[in-house]
Amino acid sequence: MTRLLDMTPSADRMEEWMLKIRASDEQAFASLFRSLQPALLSYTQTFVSEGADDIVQDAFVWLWENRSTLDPEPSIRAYLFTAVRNRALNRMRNDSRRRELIDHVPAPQRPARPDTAASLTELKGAMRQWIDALPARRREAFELSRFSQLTYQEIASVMGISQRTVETHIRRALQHLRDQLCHHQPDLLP
Amino acid sequence: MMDEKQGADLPPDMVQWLNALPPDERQDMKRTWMLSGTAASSTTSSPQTEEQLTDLLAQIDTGTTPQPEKPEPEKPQPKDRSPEQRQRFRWGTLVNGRRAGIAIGAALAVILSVSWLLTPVTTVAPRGEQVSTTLPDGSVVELSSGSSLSHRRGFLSGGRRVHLDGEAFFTVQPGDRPFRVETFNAEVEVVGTRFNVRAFGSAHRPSTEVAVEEGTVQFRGADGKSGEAVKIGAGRASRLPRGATRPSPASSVDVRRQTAWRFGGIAFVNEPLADIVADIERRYDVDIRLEASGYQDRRLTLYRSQVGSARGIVEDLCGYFAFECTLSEQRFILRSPSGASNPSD
Repeated sequence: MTRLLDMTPSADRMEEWMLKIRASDEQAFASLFRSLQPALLSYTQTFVSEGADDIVQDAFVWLWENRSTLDPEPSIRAYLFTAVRNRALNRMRNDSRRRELIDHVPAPQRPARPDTAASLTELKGAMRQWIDALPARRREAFELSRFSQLTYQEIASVMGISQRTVETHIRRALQHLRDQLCHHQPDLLP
Repeated sequence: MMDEKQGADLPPDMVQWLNALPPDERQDMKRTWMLSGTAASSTTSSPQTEEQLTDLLAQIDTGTTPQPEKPEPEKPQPKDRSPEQRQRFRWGTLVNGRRAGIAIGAALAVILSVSWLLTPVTTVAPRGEQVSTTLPDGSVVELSSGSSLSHRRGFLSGGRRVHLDGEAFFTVQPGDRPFRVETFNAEVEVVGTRFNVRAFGSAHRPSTEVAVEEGTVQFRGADGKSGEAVKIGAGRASRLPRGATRPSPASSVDVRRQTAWRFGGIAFVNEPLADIVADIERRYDVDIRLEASGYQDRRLTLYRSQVGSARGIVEDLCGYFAFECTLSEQRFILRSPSGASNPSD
């Protein structure tokens, strides 16, 4: 899991890469790709089942082609997450396999584990189910914050909503997960 | 059971809300946040990431003129041939043509490998671009525009030694062997540290300047002319002008500012205008004609943390010196105010 922390370079680092990318530095571009591609890929995969790789690559090609006109504000992460999101949504539309991205999508009800012996894999499975069962946009905001380490400002810019809404989504998601834990695996809470 | 530390940090944006909660509930939330980390799908780099990167780099226009693939006849030579194997090709055992052919081939291979090993590896950052490169020992060099760096392949002979023409920022891997940077007139020796060297031998007022961000370096004139070395610690800098024998005593500087070039900025401290102009030409790949005699040596201190284009700075210079300026996209002409040639007016 410490690896996960490695994958979230500091804002300074990002800024440095970005400035170098503007100066056509391919190594900085490669470093940026290495650090963000996995997170972008799993984010993209929440929208499309196939072709997520290509979408992420396209976004980076686009970034490179527009490097000279890049503006450091908002963050480069927000740029890339927005880019893959737009591409993924377009793809879904074209595939007419569009998934409704509104808040009251019926959440699939899954029986969570009632037993208390929570091995890590069991917890992981249960947690995954609870997160998947969140309303789509709430889940998206929560995952961007929790797994891709985006700031609220970046999430707001990626999802096209206000920071306040981002905050509400994440707070509610966390409360919901807490309730699930409390109900199914109370011994895990202090 | 589980590592409490793993990605347990709640986003700073959430702190305010959390702090408003009763302590129990706050603990619950923190714990929930931490446990939710278990559901992360793999967001670490994988071999697939590298494959994708290779694909990606093949797709993009790198912006540099592609170097024609020069066949390197040396390359396929078996460097890893063991000494025992090599001994089979003794001249004395040559009896037939086929063997002779093999032996000649092998001899050629050795000659080519040796010459390949002795050819210095050179990295060039063209005008208008910056390049970063990793040396065989893992040290990282960021080259500023219009600069070049060369070293022996693999640092196999002569230790960790590089030659710099221009400006670069070094992040040196600690190691037993000292790391040396040579310039047209000086030598910098370090063990493991971060520092900037600026040495444009063809500048109007050529000098080698060293600024240290972390650690300590030894700075002295190039061999022969060398006087005593000056020790430069973190946050300090020293300069050795061409022709001088001893670097200036290390003085305190803002290193971040001195190395503004790394982050898209510029910084000149009491530099002659001629050198400032040359620097802008290199950095932004533009042509600037300074047709104002007597202004070459005018000194100026100028700092910008961010520079959008060369035009902006040139306009500043024009404003400052009241030059008559002709500005086009890539070419600027700076003339003395109203034909006057004496800067002291």
